[in-house]
Amino acid sequence: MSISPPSRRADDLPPLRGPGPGLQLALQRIAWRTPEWWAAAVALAVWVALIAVDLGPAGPAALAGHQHHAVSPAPASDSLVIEVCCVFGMMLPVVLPTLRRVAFASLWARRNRAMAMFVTGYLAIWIAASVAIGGVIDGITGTTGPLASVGLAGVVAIGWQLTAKKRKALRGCHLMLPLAPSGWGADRDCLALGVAVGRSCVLNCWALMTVVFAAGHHPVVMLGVLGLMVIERFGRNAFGDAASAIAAEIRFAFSPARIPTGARRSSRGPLGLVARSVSVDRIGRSPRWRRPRQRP
Amino acid sequence: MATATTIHIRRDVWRLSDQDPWHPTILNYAKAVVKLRSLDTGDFADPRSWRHLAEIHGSSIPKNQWPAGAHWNECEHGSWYFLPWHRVYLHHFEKIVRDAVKQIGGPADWALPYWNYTDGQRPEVRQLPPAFRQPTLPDGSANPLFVTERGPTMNTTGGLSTATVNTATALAESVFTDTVGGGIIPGFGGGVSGRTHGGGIPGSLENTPHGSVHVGVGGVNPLGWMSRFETAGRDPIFWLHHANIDRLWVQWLRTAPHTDPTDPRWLRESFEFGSGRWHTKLAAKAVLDSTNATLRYRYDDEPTAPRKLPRPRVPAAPSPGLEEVVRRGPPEMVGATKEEVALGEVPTHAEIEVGAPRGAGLESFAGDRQPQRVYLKVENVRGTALSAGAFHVYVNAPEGASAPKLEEHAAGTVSMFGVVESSQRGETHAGEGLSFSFDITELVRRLQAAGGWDPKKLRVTFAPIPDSAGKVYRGDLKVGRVSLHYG
Repeated sequence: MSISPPSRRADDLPPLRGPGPGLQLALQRIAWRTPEWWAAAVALAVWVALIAVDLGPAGPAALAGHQHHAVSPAPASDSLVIEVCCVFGMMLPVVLPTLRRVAFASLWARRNRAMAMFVTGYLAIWIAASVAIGGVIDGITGTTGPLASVGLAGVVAIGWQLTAKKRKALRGCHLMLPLAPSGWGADRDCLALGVAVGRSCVLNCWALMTVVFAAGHHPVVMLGVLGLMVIERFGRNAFGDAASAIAAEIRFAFSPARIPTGARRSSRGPLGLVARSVSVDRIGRSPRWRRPRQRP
Repeated sequence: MATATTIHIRRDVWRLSDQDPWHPTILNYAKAVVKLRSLDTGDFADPRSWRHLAEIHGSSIPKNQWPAGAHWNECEHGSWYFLPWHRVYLHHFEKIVRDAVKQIGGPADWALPYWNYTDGQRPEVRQLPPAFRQPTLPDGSANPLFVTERGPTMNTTGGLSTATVNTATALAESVFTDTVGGGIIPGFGGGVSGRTHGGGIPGSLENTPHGSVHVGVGGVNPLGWMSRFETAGRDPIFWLHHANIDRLWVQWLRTAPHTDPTDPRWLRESFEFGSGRWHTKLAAKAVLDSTNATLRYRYDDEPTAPRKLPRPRVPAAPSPGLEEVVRRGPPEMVGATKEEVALGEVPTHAEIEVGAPRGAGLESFAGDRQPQRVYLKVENVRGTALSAGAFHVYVNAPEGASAPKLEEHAAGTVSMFGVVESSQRGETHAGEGLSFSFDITELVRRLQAAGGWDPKKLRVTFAPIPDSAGKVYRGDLKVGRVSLHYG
């Protein structure tokens, strides 16, 4: 008796040639080992857009988006767009490790869906919180003026950072709950986990975010607060570690070493990079897989 | 007389007890404990006080009541820092006790003994050493090594079960840690993690015998000192237990090609204890060799020749099959339970529908149509009352099978040390409970050969391991999920 996965057609897979993988295969390798890559890409794209807008003709006023800022207040719809962008740019990076855990805890075919459900629950909580925080900050700024608003937000943030409630919430940011493997239960569990992590995250970071709002979403302030959030979650070496990990992934992706046969182009999958399963027979015949049978 | 270059020898407490239950090393330890307990005044501000030292491991004292400079409630569990953190903790403790021993007229080269409870030739070593079971010292005064907050019969004739002290699974691990991430490959020393108080997967050594001995000594109904993070360090046997865990780390490294992690995140992480004159801060990379100028100790069962540990810069050579897993990335989950599984007084079962692998899992099938590696993960074990301190985990075990037959289906044991604390939300835990992972590749191959493996269905059985009195209890433990992974 053997553990036999279902046989699949092998001849629809293009042969792999050459000493090393091409760009597409390299990206597929990254997607296999780093399923949360797309969330990082979204966050990065948002940051590029925010910085581009900040450096653009309208300058920082375009990001301010609230009535309390003296220069050309943006329409409410623009304000919401800025807040949503702010949430995507600042809150996705800090849940990348959790997204990774969600992906690895899900069936292969559901990995992206599971992560998407988690992100939906998580960001929904954050967007709602952002609207509320923005409203409060607008009110305060209208009364005290922008400078006093920033100062007040800073004092509140420092005070909150020292509380036990905040430390408890920080631990909740790393929460991982059991996920049903399939069906609506899997969607429900991923969504619920996103909401639970989002609630802890809001409780943990709301005070820091008031500084971001009071400062009119200035990218430098946003980057500073994001840095603090990353360090308090993952340690002071978090950025160096992340850079090392990214470099290692890229090195691995382009290395010419043994290549998993199934890491080939696929037209399926929500992101077009989900590898297609391959025939066991093909694996058995493939010279790349023909090696002495190894028994521990 | 000890000098600055003296290597202190940590000795087997049972072999010392064979010579004399109150061997000077043991008696001096007891007297030092008395001295350190005498410093337990006020808010335990003296970094040498017994409670101060114990609170480092775990503390239920609110943070605003901690003395200045306290590094409390910092034990590393479910983490790849478990071993180095506890090594530095023991070193810090040993320095303080050695000083106390000197002050009471004992030898300057006193070293912490270890409790080797895993000696198949000597079943009596699964009992606490005699000096830890006697209410009084030889002079008739109260014995500080005797603690009433222990499991039933542990202070009399009771002992730990063989499953509780099993080191075979841990010592057979081929790698220290799960280098591919994903929290699935257990390794010897724990999964890659940040500084934590739980939440990741423990290494095989941390699970058994570390965790199982903790709860085996402390008991489950009620939870004794050794059974809880917050109180474990108060029991003097805690330190001898951890000396043994530290010794097992040394022993594992003596077997080629085992090595410590080479990851700079692990090597540079530092651990801080105490304050003032009694302050210790050391990075993991500074404590890889216990005979170095900083630590200066070795175990009495180590070869006396200068130690040549495998340097961490030498890449580990993983066991066959695991190399490919590391290259591909984290294994693929192919099936999981849909509901929680209760862990009770009697064996309980979980059924898993196993799907066909589609990605990394499929790639793991070699030319002989067998997966390279198979992992069983037991996730989110939570509860407030334990029915047992540890549970056997069996795969596809037949109903009513005899004990020898069950052994053929054994995946390992899960220990419940810390499950109550990690089930509660707080500053040190997210409330997600404990998770475990087992490499069951060889078990699956054995089951295949015997016709006991169904690629579409898996049955996992959890059987409670009775305490030292042979009892199991009514508890409320639940497993959040059981999952199968191909890698």
